Amino acid sequence: MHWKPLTSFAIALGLSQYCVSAAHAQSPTPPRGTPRQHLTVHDIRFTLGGDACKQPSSVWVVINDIDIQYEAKKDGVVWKADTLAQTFDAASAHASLRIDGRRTDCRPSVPNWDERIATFKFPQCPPKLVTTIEISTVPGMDVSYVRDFRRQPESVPCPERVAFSSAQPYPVTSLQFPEETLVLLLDRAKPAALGLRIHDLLNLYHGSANSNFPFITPDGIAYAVAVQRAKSMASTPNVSSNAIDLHLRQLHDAKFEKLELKVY
Amino acid sequence: MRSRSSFPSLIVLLLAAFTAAAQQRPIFDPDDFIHPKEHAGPVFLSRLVLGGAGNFIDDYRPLHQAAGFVLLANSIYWSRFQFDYKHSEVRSEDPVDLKVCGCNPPIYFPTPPPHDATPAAPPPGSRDTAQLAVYLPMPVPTGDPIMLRYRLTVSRQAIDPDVTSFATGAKTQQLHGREQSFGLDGDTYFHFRGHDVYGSFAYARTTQSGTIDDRTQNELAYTIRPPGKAMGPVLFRTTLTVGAITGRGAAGINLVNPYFEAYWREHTTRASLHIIWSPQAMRSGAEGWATHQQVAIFVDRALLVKIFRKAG
Repeated sequence: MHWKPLTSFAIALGLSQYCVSAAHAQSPTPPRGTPRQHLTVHDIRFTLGGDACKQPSSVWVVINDIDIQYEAKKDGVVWKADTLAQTFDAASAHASLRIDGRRTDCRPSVPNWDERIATFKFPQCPPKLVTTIEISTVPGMDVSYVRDFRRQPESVPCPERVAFSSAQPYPVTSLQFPEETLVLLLDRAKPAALGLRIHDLLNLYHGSANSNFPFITPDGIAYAVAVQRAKSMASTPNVSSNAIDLHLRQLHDAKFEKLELKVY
Repeated sequence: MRSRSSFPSLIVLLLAAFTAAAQQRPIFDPDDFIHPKEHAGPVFLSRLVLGGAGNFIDDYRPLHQAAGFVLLANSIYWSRFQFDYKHSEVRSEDPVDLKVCGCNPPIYFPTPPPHDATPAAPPPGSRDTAQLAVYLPMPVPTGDPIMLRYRLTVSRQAIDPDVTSFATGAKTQQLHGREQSFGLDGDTYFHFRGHDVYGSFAYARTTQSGTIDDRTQNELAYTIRPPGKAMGPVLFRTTLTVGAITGRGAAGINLVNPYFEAYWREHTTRASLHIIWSPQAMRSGAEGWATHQQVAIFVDRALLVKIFRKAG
């Protein structure tokens, strides 16, 4: 008489058990008595999706933004790498890949407690079409840039910060617009959130790949940053004349004349 | 892809344009937000604003005529604090003559609106405003902290109209009234369904005394502030304010105020041009909903920008 509810219950129970066991199979739990918080490893396994990565000539792994690259080799459907003596905590690490020079976003590690390895999933391979931007200023200054990927639901932040002198054109290579952001800090002391968003600047002044950008004056920079503020720059959106005039005064005091960008 | 994203942006832009003026600050008071990390030491800025407005509205009280205005704003930014002193002069195109009959009790003309109607704006004049603000960072899990500003505003305006005799036209007395306003406003931020939602809450209490129609109004309003948009050299932004104002015989939400602003910075003169359309739909017990179309055009320019070097 009541077989339908019972069957539904049994199916639901079975499904839930299947899901739980599948989850356990994907992420094995640590053995009893093992502290769950940390898993020190040097072995890495990851999967790589996307059509642009079918036959990459070189794949390297960067762990926790530390600028050491470990070569990865394909083994069936997974990729393997070994950080050798440089161990890390698989419970809290993140990694990004360098695929034929192109960079992926950062993905969190999923520790495999049974095999004592760190596993990662990279669902999207970076596109093959990339951009290089050469940055210089007159006069040359001590500046820096911060590049990062726009946040995906499963990615973690891993900005790359580089300080350089802008007296000579400095290349920032393998940029993947619009997935990636590039922020220039003419004043290194400022946080990245208040820098000049080069990726937006290209759109604002109709720049494109393979175009030689006209130089950008202090007024042009002040306006570009004002546009950023109007869209929100680590604050509520605003159109503040005071902020524009302060910015111009700072550029004037720094004797800043122009910013030159070359886009390849 | 582009057209899909631009349509909602346009809607948001329009909505926002309908919102921005729900504060006691006048329409000609330009934005003066500066993120504390944008300056290492103290900064002093002095700014002059000149312009005019059609259908001028003073703190949600329509003047029913155009007005010209001058504003001198002086701001000090120090660490996470901001202090402002602002002096404004507003002049209307057709000042109202206050007349009184020789009767007892005296009756004034024009007669003030009834107490369940929207109050009349005070006669245009001089106003002094002092503001103290603090900037506080709000951590967000998805990125850099959002800097929110919380500000206290106190303003005072003398109301000293001459009163003439209705019968003879001779000056019979001069009133010595004043209007005082006290306000608090604070920025808000929250994340909703993958979108950043920026806005601000504002509370203000405005009290008149020594006038022929002493009234008090309390305002509580929320303004949503969508991101602005650049079209060539012009910046566009919109806001939408919804609020409740007491003292006009209508309880509950009785204010809906979209606000649209076009902003153009002229690089040679370093002056900024603002064109603002701010229709205010307000409800009172006597009149119901009524919309007042306020349009303002003004120019602002910095008179002095002084950066004080951080000691050490």
